[in-house]
Amino acid sequence: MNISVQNVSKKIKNNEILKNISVEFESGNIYGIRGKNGSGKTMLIKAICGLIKTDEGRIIVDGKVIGKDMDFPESIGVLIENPGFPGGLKAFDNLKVIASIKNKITDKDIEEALIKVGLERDLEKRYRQYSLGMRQKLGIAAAIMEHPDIILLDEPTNGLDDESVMKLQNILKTERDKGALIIVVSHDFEELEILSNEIYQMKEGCLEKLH
Amino acid sequence: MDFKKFISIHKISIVSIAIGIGIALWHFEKGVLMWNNPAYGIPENAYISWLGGTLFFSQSYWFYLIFPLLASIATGIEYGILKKNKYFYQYRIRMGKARYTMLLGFRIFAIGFLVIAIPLALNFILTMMVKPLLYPDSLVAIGPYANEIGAKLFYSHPMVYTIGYIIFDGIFAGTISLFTAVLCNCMENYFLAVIVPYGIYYALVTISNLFAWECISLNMALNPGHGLKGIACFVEIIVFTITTIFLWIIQGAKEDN
Repeated sequence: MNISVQNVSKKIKNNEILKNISVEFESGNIYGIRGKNGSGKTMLIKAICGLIKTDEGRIIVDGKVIGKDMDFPESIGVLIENPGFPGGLKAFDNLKVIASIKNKITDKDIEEALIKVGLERDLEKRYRQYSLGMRQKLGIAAAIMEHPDIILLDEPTNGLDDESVMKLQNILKTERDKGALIIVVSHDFEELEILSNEIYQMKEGCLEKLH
Repeated sequence: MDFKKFISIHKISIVSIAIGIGIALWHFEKGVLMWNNPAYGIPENAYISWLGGTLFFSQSYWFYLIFPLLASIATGIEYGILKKNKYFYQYRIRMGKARYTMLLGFRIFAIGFLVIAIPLALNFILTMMVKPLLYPDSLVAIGPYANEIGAKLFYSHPMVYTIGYIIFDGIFAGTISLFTAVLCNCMENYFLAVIVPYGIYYALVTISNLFAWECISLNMALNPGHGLKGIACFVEIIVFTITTIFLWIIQGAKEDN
């Protein structure tokens, strides 16, 4: 699995959010992207998963151009900003609805994902009763439950306590060792240092490799 | 594939359906069970007495006046909330754009359809249980005039006409629902998106009343007992439906999250 971002630019209302970005991502790695709020990190993630169209350049996933050969990468799990789910459903039901689209995983897989992120004690609560951290955990569970080849996480530790952050790190390391390509976007440098094989800095729409 | 929850009816839709059913039951009580005034010449006939049979009763008038509001509230607010909290991307990335656009469009359309079709169908069924089902008499000055679109069907096959009209009204409501979602995609303020379809509808009613252009008034055209007074309304509805579906598909293809 390989993601090739080639000369990607994106403008919104004359504001250049992404400026001629080129970067390569390979499977079996965790990539960290840090940057201030509004630096374009989320926009890059959205472009990679096909949720926005870029004005220039192209993004190629395993030889297929996003937006041309396919709408979205075939096997992808995404957490963007604060996750949102219908408030009236319980955690399992929310994931079940999403999982039923591809029908690749069983109920047991969903339960396992919920246990992995630490929601096993809150399964009877409805989404609207969840705290910020619990909502974030459910969003992470949605992203990882199908064991996708590509996992894109935007500020995944928002609202998580230390124990949950540790759990998340273990989940991501396990998925990486299984061969997943993981990109984590965060403004927290320390968190990225622990997790990532490579770290990039996003500044005013430009991406540069830190190490 | 299990999409039951994806296309399930949510609370706001239930509120709209409840308002519609409330009016339908109110009409059944006042206009069917308690109505006993031969002076107005309303015949004892289920095809005339039901909610959609005439605009004579205030309940019918109100139902057809707030018709688009019921449909737009049903979907607009809920769609707006789900869109705002970024829920839909979970579907989009798993389904692909074409399937996502089609399924979500169908869901929104179905909600609008049900919000209007359920109260109408319920009222018609209840009325049938009380009033006789007689062939309408074209000489009675209630019901579509003999030279109007569909009038022939009304006087020869009234059941087909009535059921067909309930479906026609449902389709129009479904289109309003979809139109509201199209507006939600363009507007930041989702409450405005809910109000705009009603504003257009009400403007047509007002213009129609001011200039006596009955042929453009949709609240009358959507009432089976009133019928389509001219081709203009029919064209209005067809153009509106096609344009809305077209805009929805275009937006689905271009949508940025």
